[in-house]
Amino acid sequence: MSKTFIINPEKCTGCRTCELTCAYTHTVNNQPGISRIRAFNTKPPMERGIPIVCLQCDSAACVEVCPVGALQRNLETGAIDVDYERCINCHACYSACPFGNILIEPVNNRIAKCDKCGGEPQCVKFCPTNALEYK
Amino acid sequence: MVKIKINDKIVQAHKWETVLQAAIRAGFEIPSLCYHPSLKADGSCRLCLVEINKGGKTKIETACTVPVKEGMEVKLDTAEVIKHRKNILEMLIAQVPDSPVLTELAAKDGLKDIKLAKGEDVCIKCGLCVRICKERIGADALAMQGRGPDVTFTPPFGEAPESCVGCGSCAFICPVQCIKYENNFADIKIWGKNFEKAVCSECGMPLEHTREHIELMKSRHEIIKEEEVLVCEKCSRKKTLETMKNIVDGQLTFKKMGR
Ligand code: SF4
Ligand code: SF4
Ligand code: SF4
Ligand code: FES
Repeated sequence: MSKTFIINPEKCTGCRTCELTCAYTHTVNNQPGISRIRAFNTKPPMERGIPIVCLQCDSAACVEVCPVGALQRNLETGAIDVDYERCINCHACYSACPFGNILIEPVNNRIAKCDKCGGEPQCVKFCPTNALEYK
Repeated sequence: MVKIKINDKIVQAHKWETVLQAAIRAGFEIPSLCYHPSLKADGSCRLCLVEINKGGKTKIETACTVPVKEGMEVKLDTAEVIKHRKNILEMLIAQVPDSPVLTELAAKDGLKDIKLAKGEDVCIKCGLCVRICKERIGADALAMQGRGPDVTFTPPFGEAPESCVGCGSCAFICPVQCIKYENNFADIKIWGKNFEKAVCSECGMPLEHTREHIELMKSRHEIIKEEEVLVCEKCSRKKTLETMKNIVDGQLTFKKMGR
């Protein structure tokens, strides 16, 4: 079994370090991309953040809807990875994801999703409160 | 695995690969226009020529259509190959003189002094748009008749194809970028047709797709649910957050989120 994200909302302070880390890790045309993880700060009375990131679904809508099979499970990391050579930029996956976890990079209009940083998720490493774990 | 030789390098290729695929994987560069990894190769641009030696016989062939075979020897950029490629490029540039893609390829082969007969066409008739629309998107809006220089488009280039859903894939895949596509805030323009984008059922903001494209996706995939696909990314995330919040608050229990 590949490792998976564990999210502990009770520890999240909503500092959004994960977002910054993600944006800087994934550079697009030598510019930091957008963050594939987002820590939403919930409104009072529940003062805390909840990080939301791709769940790498077993039976994923994005994989199913892609007309060219550009989204495929990476057997090593367990992540669903995008093959940008195959992708024809139809953005079907973007609409299909019921959780809003696929994004469009404004710099090049291509889709972006969490790839678990190839097995070493940087957001987890930089989360100061251990609200994100990977095991 | 199959062993082949490309220039002087031994390359391990998969049995199902073509010479072009094996070469790309091994890091070689072969000029190509009508090859796309998502479609079966059909060898229409003839640019990917290489010299192939199979059992002592040497032939110039299109790398994208020839399957690999044990012991095959492939040579890229031989004098003969470059000569043929220059001819092909010259023909293509005569058709589409303003294409940066073609000019760049020509420059690599040292092709200068191209007779710039001002071509009227903007399209090199490679057929990628027709095939992606039919074979992958499933809209089957475009068609081409004939081969070579006599190819004609139905409907004629620039006119709106009837069953087009405005997905924009043809414009994306076109190697010489000659299909005009505009993705605006609330509409998409392609083939001279103006499509309104569908709107989010929660906040009313325009979505990424046209209503027609969403209908097509729904008809092709059971997993696409109207109530999910008509929600924008931001509202989808809000809903996810709502669910997570309820789990945290103990109002909902979930063994596992996602599908
Ligand atoms: S992008 Fe969305 S549909 Fe695809 S695996 Fe992630 S959560 Fe599931
Ligand atoms: S945008 Fe690319 S990865 Fe997403 S569905 Fe379309 S072809 Fe597949
Ligand atoms: S935009 Fe229209 S013509 Fe082009 S691939 Fe999509 S449906 Fe086909
Ligand atoms: S890429 Fe091989 S013929 Fe066009």
